Amino acid sequence: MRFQTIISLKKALTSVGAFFRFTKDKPKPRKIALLFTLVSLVLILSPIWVFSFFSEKSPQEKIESARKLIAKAGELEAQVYAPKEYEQAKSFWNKAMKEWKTGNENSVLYKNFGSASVFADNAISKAEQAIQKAKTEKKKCVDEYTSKITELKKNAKFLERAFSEFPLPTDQRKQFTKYVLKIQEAEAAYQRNDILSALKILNSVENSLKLVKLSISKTLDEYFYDYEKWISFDAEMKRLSAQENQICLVVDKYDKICRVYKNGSVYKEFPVELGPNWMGVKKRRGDKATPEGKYFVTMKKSGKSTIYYKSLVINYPNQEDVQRFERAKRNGEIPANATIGNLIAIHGEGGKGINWTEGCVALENKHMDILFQLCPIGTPVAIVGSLKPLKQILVEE
Amino acid sequence: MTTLVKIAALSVAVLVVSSCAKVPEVELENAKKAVEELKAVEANRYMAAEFNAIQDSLNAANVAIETEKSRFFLVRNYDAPKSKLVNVVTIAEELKAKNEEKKAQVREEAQQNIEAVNQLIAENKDLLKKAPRGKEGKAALEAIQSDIATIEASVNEVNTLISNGDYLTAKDKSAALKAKAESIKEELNQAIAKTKKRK
Repeated sequence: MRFQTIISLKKALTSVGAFFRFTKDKPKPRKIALLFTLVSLVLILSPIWVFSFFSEKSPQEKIESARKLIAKAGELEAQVYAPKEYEQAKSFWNKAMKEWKTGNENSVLYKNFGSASVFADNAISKAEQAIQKAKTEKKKCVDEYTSKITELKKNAKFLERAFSEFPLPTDQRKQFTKYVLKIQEAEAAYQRNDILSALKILNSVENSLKLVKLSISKTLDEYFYDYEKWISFDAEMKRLSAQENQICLVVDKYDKICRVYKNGSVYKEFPVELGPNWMGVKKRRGDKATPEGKYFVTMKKSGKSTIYYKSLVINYPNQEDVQRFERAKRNGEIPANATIGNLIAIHGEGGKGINWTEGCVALENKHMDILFQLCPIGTPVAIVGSLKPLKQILVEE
Repeated sequence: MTTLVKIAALSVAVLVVSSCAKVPEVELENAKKAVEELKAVEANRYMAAEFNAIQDSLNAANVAIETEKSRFFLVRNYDAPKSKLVNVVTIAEELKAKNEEKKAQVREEAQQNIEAVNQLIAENKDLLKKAPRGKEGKAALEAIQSDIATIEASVNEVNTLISNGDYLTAKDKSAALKAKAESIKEELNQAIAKTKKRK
C-alpha cells in the first residue's frame, strides 16, 4: 500500500515536471503565468497559514462553555434568584466576545485572545455561581413561601372563624379582609411561578396579620378566662336538677342554646337569640349584652303584661352584677351616668335568625310555650359564655 | 507576456480577496433587533423560558460568527451562523405573536374576573338587603358592607393595572377579589337560609 502511494506520488511529480519542463524553445507565456500564479499563491498563503496555525488559539471553546452555562443559569431563573452573579456572568461573556471580536479583526501576527480567555473564564465562574445560587435561593424561597403561607393561612382561618363566631371589633375585620385578599393574591403569584412577588406580598401582611391575631386571641382568651366557672355552673344546674328534682336552665351563649335539665340530665334544648354584643358580661343598660351568671326566675309574664309573647324574668342584676357595675364605674370603664339595667328575661318572639335583643334571651314562641310551662318562679338559670373550650371552637370545621 | 503576468497577479489578488466570506452583518443586526423587540413587549415576563432560549440562540450565532472569523480566511464559511440568525428572526416573530396572544389571554382573564367581581358585588348588595339586618346584627352587617367596599375599591385598582398593561398582577388581584366576593355571597346565602329555616 505504502509502495503504491510512493509510485503514485512519483508519477504525479513527473507529470508536473514535464508540464513545466523548460525546453530549448522559449517558454510558453501561458505556462509562465500559471507558474507565477501558483508560486504567488503558495508564497502568500503559506506564511499566513503557518502563522495562523501556530498563532494563539481562539477562546471559542471557553466562550461556548460560558454561553451554555449562562443559558443553563437562565433556565434555572438565575436572573431572578441570583441576579448579581447572572448579570456579572453575562457582562464577562459580552467582554469576552468583544475581545475575541477585536482579536479576530487583528492580523494573524497581532492576534491576541488573552483577555478574551480571561473574561470567558470569569464568565464561566460567575455562571456556575449563578446556577448554584439560583438552585439554593429558589429552594429557600419556596421553603420560605410554604412556611409563611401555611402560617398565614392558619392565622387567617383562625381569624375567619373567630370573626364569624364572635362579635369582634369591625375595624379589625376590615383589616383582616385586606390581608385575606393579599394572601390570595400571593397564592396566585406563586401559582404562576412568581415566587419572589408572592413572598413580597406575604411579607407585607405577615406582621399586621399576626398583630390582629394576637389582639383577637387576647380578647377571646380574656373572655374564655371564665370557662371553668361556666362549666361549674352547668354542673351545678345538672346536680341541682337531680338533687332538688327541679327544672334548671343553662343558657349557652356561644352555642345559642337553652338547655333544660330535669332529673340530672338534659331534658330539652331550644335555640335562642341574644343581644348583638352577646360576648362578654353585661356592664350597663343599653350595651346590648346578655348577662352571665347564676340567676333564678323571679316573675312569669304572659298576655298583655309582656310584648314578647311570654317572659321568664330573672333576677338581673344580682349581687355580683352590682359589684361589677360599681367597680366598672369607679374605674371609668363605663360613663358616670350609666345605669345597670334590669328586666332581663327569657322570652318569646325569637326565631329571627339574628342576635337582636337588648340583652334578653329570645326563643321561638312554640319553644317558649314549653319552657313557660316547665319553669315555675324560682327556677335556677345559669347564663354562661360557652360550654365548649375556645380551642375546640376555633378548630371546628 | 507582461500582460499575462499582470493578469495572473490580479487573479491571485482577486482570489485572495474573494476568498474572504462575508460576515452576515445584516442578519446579525436583524436578529438583535428582533430579540430587543421581544423584550420590549415583555416576552421575558410572559414567556420567560422561550425568551431565554432565543437570547441564547442569538449568543450561539454570535459565537459561531467569531469562530468562523478565527479560522483561516480561505476556509471561513458563514452559512451556518447566517442560517441561525435567520432562524432567530423567524422564531422571534412567532414568539412575538404568541406573546401578544398570551398577554391578550391574561388581560381577558383579568377582565373576566373583574366582570364576575362586579356582578358578585351587585348580587351581594341585593343579598344584604334580604339578609335579616346582617348575619349577626348591625355590626356584622357593617362588616360585610365594609368587605364589599374594600372589594369595590380594589376593582378600581385592578382596572388601573389593566390600563397600565400590568396584566399579570391584575389577574392575580382580580382572582383574589373574585374568591373573596364569592365567599361573601356564600356567607350571606347561608345567613339567609338560616333565617328562612327558622321562620
